Amino acid sequence: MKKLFYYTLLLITVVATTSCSDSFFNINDDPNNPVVVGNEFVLTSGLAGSAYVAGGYYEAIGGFWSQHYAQSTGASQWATWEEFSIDEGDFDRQFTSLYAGALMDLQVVRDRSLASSDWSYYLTSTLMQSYDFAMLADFYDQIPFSEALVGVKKITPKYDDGKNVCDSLIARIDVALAKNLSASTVSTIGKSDIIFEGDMDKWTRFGNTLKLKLYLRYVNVDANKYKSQIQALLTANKFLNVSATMTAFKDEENNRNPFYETFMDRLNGNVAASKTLVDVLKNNNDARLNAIYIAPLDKNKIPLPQVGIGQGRYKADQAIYATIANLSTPNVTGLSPVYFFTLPEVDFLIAEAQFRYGTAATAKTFYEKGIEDSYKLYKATSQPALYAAGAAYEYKGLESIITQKWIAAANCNAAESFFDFNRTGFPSNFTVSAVSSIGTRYPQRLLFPDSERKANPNTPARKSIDVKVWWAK
Amino acid sequence: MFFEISIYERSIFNFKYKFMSMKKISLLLAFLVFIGLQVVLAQTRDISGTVTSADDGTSIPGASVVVKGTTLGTITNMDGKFTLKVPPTAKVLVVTFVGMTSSEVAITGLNNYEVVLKAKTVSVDEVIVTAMGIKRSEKSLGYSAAKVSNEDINSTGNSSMMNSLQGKIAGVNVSSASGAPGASSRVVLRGVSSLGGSNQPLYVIDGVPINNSMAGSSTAINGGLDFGNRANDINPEDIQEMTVLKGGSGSALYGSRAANGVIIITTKKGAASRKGNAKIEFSHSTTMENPLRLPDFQNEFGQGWYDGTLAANLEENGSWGAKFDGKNRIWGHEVDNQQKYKPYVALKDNVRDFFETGLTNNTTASVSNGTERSTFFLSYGNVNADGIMPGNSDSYKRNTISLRGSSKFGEKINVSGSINYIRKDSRFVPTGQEQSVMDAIWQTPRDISIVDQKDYKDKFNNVDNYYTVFAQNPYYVLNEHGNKFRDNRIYGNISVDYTILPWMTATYRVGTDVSNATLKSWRAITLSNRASYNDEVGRVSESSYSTTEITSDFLLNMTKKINDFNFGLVLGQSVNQRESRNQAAEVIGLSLPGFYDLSNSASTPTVLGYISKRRLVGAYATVDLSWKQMLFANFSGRNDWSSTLAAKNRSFFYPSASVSFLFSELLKDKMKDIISYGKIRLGISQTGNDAGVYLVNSIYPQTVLSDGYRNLNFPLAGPINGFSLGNRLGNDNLKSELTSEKEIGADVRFFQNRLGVDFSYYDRTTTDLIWNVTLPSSTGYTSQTMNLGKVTNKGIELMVTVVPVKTKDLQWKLSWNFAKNNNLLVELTPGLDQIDLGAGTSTVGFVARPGMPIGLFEGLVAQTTPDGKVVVNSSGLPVSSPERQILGAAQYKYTMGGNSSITWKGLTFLASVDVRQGGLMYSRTAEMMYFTGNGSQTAYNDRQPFIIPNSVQNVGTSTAPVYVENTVPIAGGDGNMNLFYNQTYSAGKFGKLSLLDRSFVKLRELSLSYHLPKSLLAKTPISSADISVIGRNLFLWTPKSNTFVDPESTTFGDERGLGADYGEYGATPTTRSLGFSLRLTL
Repeated sequence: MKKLFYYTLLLITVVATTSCSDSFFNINDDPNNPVVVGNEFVLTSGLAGSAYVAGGYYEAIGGFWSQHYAQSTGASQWATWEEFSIDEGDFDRQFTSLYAGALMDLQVVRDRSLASSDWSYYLTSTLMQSYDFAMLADFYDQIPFSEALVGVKKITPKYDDGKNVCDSLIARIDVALAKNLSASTVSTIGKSDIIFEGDMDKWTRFGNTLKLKLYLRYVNVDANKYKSQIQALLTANKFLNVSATMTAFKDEENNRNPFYETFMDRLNGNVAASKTLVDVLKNNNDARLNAIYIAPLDKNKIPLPQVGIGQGRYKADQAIYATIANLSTPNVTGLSPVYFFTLPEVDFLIAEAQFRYGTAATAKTFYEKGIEDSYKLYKATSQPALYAAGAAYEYKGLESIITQKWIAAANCNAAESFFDFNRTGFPSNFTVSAVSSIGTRYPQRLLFPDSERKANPNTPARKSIDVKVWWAK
Repeated sequence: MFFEISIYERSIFNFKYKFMSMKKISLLLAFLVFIGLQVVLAQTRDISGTVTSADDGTSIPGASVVVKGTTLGTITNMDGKFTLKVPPTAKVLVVTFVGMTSSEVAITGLNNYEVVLKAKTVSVDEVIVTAMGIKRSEKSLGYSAAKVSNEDINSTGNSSMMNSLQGKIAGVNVSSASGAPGASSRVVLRGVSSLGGSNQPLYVIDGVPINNSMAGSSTAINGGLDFGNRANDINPEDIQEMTVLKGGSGSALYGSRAANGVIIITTKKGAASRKGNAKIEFSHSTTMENPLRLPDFQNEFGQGWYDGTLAANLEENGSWGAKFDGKNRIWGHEVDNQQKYKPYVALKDNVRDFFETGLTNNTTASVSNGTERSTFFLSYGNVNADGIMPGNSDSYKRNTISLRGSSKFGEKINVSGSINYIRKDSRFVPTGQEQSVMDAIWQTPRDISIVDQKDYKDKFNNVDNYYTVFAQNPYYVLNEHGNKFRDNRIYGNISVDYTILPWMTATYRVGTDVSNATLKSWRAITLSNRASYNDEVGRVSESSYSTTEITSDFLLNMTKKINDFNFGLVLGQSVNQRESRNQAAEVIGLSLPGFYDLSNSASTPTVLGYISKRRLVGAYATVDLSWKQMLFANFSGRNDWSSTLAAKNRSFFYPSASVSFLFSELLKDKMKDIISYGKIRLGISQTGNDAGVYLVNSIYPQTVLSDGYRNLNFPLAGPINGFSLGNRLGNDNLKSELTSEKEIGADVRFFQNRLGVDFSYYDRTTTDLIWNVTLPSSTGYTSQTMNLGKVTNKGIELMVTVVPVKTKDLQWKLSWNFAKNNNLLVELTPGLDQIDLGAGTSTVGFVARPGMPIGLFEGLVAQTTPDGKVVVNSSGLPVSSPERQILGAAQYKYTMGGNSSITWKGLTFLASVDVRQGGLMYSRTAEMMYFTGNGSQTAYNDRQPFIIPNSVQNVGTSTAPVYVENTVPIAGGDGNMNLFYNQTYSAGKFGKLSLLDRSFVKLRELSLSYHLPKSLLAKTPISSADISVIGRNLFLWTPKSNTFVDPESTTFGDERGLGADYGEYGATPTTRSLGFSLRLTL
């Protein structure tokens, strides 16, 4: 009997120890998700993630705050945008989506391609990441940058001043542009580059255009800091000659243009045409009116005249327009591209640089090319008469450039118009929102996000929506 | 007898009874004194007498009456009478009966003797099923183990095993998610100690753990589905008894899965009927349900939002319109040049009228038989419930079949096993927003009838012309959208006991729990001609969920008695594997209307597959020592190996020890009649707890981009796929949580168990909490699952039982339990001052902070000046302070339960009350009541303009404020009054408005049953019959501030872990049920 007891004990020990061997327990590698993924899939994710935010919420708030759009009557989803009373929770998701999504994915590609000297991946990832960082710095002024994107190595990244971010980005872009793209280790990217399909010449042009945009952030603070670099860029004139877009959308729910998906479809009835832009286009008989907006329909589905609502008048005009059915709406579809740069935007950027640092004649040339390119982009009939001498859009320097840039940004890259307005004070026809909570002032920035406030003690103290960013006029 | 007098004199709880007893005893005393004076000498003579019970005075048949020191004796007849020839030398009679204390009676000259036997203290040898199915004497336990009997569970025919525990045991909190049939329940023992896990106890049936997971998308804020958690699948009628092990000392042997306590379920086993035939039992209950609590509505103002034109207001989904005037007014849309009109008056019951009476039928039949050597038990149970929503869109059908048996092979081997099959068919009305029934109900203006829109195809009520464009006709949603959930589940076990030696038994037990569930849900194509916010392109999704759990246990049980010492040793090994698999496909945008199949779409389906698998191995030993059945000690240790932890931290060990001292054994007989039972227990234990699966490595999931409303899913057009570095950073240092607990308690019963007090104090500390910590996204990640911080739970539990009345015909039992738990998040990893608990809305967050209890509500508050004045804007509305603030905590301050049972002859009246005090909850219903102006609170001041008392305006800037007294009233007419109550704007009353006091008192159960007298059944085959009138959740009392919901509602079930404490997000109102039940035994 004693024997039996010992045998049993032995059995337990054997079972216990053998079953605890490593192979028995090594089942904790997630079978549902890969642990190693090639650059091509991560780059796509970074590019699409950038487009998703730039062409979604940032396009929307840009559209409201640069008076392309206004809150419709009969609804109130974006009322706080019109009141300029956003809080820290607003746009938090976009901030998070960029940092933990696109920026981090692009960082993964940057780190890997730097290690393997794979310069095409290095260039694309660096440029798109720089574009995103620049956009964030324009909205928030101070952003996590030099200590960002390193995981637990720094769980509370500090916030860098926008100006330092701008300088660092310019330096980074220069480094990336200087790499030898014909070296033997350089991959051909192809389809996974959803913007230029791996065309490195277009990426180089993207880099130059982005640099010019960043240089022009200095016009109010240190206008001559990059003067020679600007002039060199203008001389080389290797800027984007096509729009930089993402078009890989399908007309199916959750596969469409992000602005259309959320703002036109899911939360329909809210985004109406702004009276500010509608009136400009109407008064000038601008053919782009019917390209930018969809007119309301009557009972027989016949289009009525285009009509916009004043900023913040969604309550006051309730009796005039009961719902959005009585107002014009943005002409954006599920397949509309997301624009990082439109060709007209590039033209106006060059025009502004020429106006400030080059020749007035070239500025005028690019100004008129901008208008032409804008008509093409909207597929509207060209009307050169509009910028003829004495006509409504006759070239009169910076105000003309920025005002036309503003019109050309509608439904495309409205955030840039919002930045331009605060940087240059143009266009000059903006109206004060009827429900403004900051009086006659205009918003200058977004509020530091709630999630950062909660988890990162280095988040700067709250700054009101009307506090200017570093480059503002 | 004399002791008894002293007992009753000290009895403080029933004067009436004391009086009766005194009278009886005095008479008896006088009688005894009288006979003591008689001295009669005689030869062998006949003496006779009657043996009766002290408890109820009934005669005791079959009692043994023996002359002390001889074999002379007899037993009492059916009337409790005896006669016996005794020799002259006989001095003393010994009278004994099973279950009664034996009595010695001096033989005197008398010929007739009245012998009264007292019942033995019944519970002294109560056997409790403890960890791993080991049966132990209750007195030997050094920890709190609460037992719940079959009767306690089934007294009111509750089809939910978990809900039947409500209010019955101190320190056990059970909350039902909603009033939907088959909704999930959440059980928390002794407070929450884990941040990440569900905090739910482990359920063990006949020694084998079962799966308590949920199927469905209970985590979704919108379109949430709740098909119940799986512990509720068990038919309560199959349960013989349940033991709740709240503390670590009791549950440590179950290993890391028992860190939140264990509920041990022992099922009914086969037994023969009284006549030796197979025993057949039948029970049935039918209950009807209606909403327990609906919000208090205002009945003064009708449809409207802004004070604009009437036409604009006629589309509105709220009651911010004009005051009721009783005049006829048009309403709704103009259709075909027609428009309806009705008197402009409040319809007080428009919401209540919407709901139908729910009906639940719950039937179980079982047959069983048994001999010394083998038993079997077979039961069939059926629950058929249709909830309070109109039609059959909320229903729950459950069929359960159980077969259990045991058999002995030779003298040494005993084999037992069980197999259970469960089939569940449910339909559930989704919670939250979007195509939501409850949202449409709460939004309905006070003057609009909901039931009148039942014909949703009518031209005025259809999708195009439903009066508001902001919601969908609820009847349309109920009838055109839908879901079907079906679950097939089998669980069971086989156990073999081999008696190796008389003192050594080996047990091998293997159990499995397999379920396969499918869910199909659909939404009809819903496109409105008007600018509708509810347009829906139609969608179909099909999901399947399968889970498999296998547990194998080997135990060697040894016991040895040496003199006054008993030794016990258990050695054991346990292997557990849990697997789950989920596949889902969805198409959005349907081609053909009314046809719900994945093929019915031109769009690309989204598909999802998820597998998870984990293993846990444990080896353990436990040693029991006892001395003279008075002093008991237990030491145990367990080592676990878990697959979910980092390889280097895979193995973890935790010991426990407990002592129980039965001090009443030392008492003299005299004292023993006062203190019939007294035990002190002491326990100290540790329990480890492993992590979730797949948290050690970083991953690259397929990219999904979302803004909270819609997504950009991959693959993109092209087609182009993408993978994104996961937002959760892997952690290769992940180790187990460790809970250490000290427990001290006493169980003392007085006056022959007429009064019992059971008290426990525990102090539990959990360190290395596993939690998916939010990282600032600027790190490139949003979270990492890590070990952080420390939580303590300290509390007391008190259970008092009293039997104030116990006579032959009348018995009254009362019990009262009280529990208070102080929960504290003591510390977090340095650098973290707050963690987000993953629930919460944009207006009210749910977080944990060190130095405070877990589960804090956080939201915006009104900005105030340094001297406390409210800052308002130019419209007179309060503006929000820049920072969110803690608005309160979710946890109860204390909980209580009271149970009363009165039996008079065949009638039994049961009542149970559940009391919970303190804590806050979020209520979407309350938020909606303010938002829509339907809540009674919104009629404040007759909606006349008023100035916020003590308010100021800032005429300076935000950085250099200059405050002046505010003279701007909140305007009634222009809509600002609704801004004041509407927290979606950052002005007004803010998040706190939707937080309610969680306190309540609920009349949980009420039943009146009649046990039919045997005489009535004599000529029938029925040996026992009970009929009852039953009620559950009949009344609810809440603090005045909560005029909205039953605070027990928790939309998020248990899958969200702590999120369940957040509150309700448009849950179906909980119900009150009333019905009858019938119980027959053949």
